[in-house]
Amino acid sequence: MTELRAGVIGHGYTGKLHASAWLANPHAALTAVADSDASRLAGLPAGVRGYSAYEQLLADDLDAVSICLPTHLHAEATLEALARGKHVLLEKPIADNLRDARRMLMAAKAKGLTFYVGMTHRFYPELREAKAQIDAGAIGEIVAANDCVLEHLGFLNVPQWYLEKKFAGGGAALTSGVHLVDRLRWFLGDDVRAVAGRAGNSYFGADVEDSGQMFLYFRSGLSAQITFAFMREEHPLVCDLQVIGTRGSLTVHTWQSYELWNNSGRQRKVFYTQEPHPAKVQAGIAGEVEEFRASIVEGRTPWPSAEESTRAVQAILAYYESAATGRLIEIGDLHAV
Amino acid sequence: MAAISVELFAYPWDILEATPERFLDHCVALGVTRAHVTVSYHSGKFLLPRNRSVRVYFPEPGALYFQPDAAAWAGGLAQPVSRLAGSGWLERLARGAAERSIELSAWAVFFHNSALGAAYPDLAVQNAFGDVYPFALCPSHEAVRDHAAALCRSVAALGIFSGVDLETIGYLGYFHGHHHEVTAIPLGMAEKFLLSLCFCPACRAACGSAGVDAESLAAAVRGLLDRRMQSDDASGGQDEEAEHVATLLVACPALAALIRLRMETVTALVKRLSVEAGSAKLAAFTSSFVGSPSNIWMEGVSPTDVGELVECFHLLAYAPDVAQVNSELVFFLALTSDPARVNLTLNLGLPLTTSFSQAAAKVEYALRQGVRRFSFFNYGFLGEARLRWIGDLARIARGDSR
Repeated sequence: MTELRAGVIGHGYTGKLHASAWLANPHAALTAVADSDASRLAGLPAGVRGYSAYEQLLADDLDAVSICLPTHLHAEATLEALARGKHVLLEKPIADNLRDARRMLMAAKAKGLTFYVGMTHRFYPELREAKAQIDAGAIGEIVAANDCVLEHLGFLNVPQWYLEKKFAGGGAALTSGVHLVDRLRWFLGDDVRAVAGRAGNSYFGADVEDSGQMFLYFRSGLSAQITFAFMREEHPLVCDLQVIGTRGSLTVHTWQSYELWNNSGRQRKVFYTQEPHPAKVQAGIAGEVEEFRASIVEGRTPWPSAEESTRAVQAILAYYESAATGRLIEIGDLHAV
Repeated sequence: MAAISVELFAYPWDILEATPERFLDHCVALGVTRAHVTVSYHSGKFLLPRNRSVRVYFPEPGALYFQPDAAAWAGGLAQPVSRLAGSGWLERLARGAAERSIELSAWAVFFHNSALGAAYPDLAVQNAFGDVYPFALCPSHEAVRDHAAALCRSVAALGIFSGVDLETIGYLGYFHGHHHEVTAIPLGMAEKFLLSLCFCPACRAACGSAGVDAESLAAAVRGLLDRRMQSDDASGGQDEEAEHVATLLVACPALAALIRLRMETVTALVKRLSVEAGSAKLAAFTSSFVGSPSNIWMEGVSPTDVGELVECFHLLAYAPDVAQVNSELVFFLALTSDPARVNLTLNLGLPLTTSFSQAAAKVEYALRQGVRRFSFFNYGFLGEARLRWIGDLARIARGDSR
């Protein structure tokens, strides 16, 4: 297979970024897009077919699909795509429950198809380079980590379904926090053993959390804290990962820079100049699209595996349980019933 | 009665930050029916309060924000093309605007261009002392007018815009600020006006053809300016000295003739651009640099003559004081006669607009004068709360209940 034929299901904000990434990939061709909102199909590039139902797209002669639908539709669309023999790149989070996640993982395995959950942060250059610095021993042995995301979801940046449990399955933790859990697992090179947390909805009063904190205990004995908020009032986008080591610390200001403090002093590296935010996210999506494509062509498991992405969701679900019960929740085996 | 038009100015970098589709959704939510988007712009240092990626933005100097068609650009100068031009922003904006029934205007800065001024210093404005103003091209040059025609033609060829906004289509002069400005001599309106007069070779040639002695006039201008510069008069240099300008025009027929010549040049150019624009309607700007909007003639733009060629003037009602804006509006309407040809443009940012009621009072007064078009500056500069004001002002303008 030299050129992968790809389709995109769901042509909203993220779906458009996926479509652009497929179009820009020199080893793939975007051939179809599906969206139930016909207005989102206007002006597709030449050679890209538009469908109002994803079932029609899946009947098309495609190798792979990006699925960019609200979370409550992930399992249904993914299982249908796998049943039709398509490799699947699914937007995070994989699901809002482990039962659906397992069904998708098992269906992909049974079919021998690639199933990948996009985790854009793994492809941002500032995070990759910061991770390489840590791996090279720049801050010594890791002692602890903090991560946070403060995001303004006011009048200007509201995908309404983000704040509705029936569509998103969860709130800020599942939508944004899942990236932070995933990157903490990546940076610490470890699985989460137990989670404690508190959730709030003081910004929007929705039926999902718009703010909260979680405390992650890793199997190695390390710990990390995550703080997140979907803020109603204007606030700059803050997404800072701080890793503290025995010989220094490293802070990644996502979509901006990283700062490294150690016995050599302070080192700051800026990765962006004046690119609009969607262009930065686009670069992450282009990275995951290429990883997905290459893993299919090379017959290998993509990085990170869908199981790993599921473990991040598993930690979020444990957090929800902790927030509801006030207890520390131990995380079990992913495949345990 | 004509429908109320509510309009918003926006830059490509802010549209890309929001994504074109979300920007248009915001327009719909605010009741905006026309968006004016930058296709050619000057350099700057802009503070962007809502931008997630960059808070202090430096636009690429003098860049185009679209890739012009080579044939349409024939006769145009080598204007740089922004890296944003290849992002597809304009195509997405056009599609989304059509779906949402939002009209688009190409907001084009013409002769204020430091990149072109640096590349073509022989085409730039020169004052009476022969000093070149590298931020401004002089429209007396045929090559500069051809460039304007190419820009207008190229924008029209995109087939996206129903309007073209002509910004800095005249003679930009000393009034315009610059980086790290230093002066130890207080200059008033009259001195700034004199320092804004262009005496480049093309202007001198035009004077010669019209029987105006440019050499003597330039010498007289230099004499007046030198007298001020050597006066060591701390009490001078008040912007309120506008009557001195009127006195100069009455006392010096050659100066009045030069002013008339400049206005004729610009009027003829606008007439040419109205052909190049095809079906798109032209709009002109007043200037925020020359005091009252009616003073736009100081940059060579005749409110009356150009007013007859364009669909409307964007009257930059930026003065904070409500009474001053109302007075300027009435005077401008007296010059242009038709309130339908005035688009009241408010800057809703601080310190120009200190409260919502201040902006509302300006809108309400203009409504009573028959103005039906209101535009707001600017999508990227305003925080969310002030952006919401646009929706509230739109409801006032349309007479909708709150």
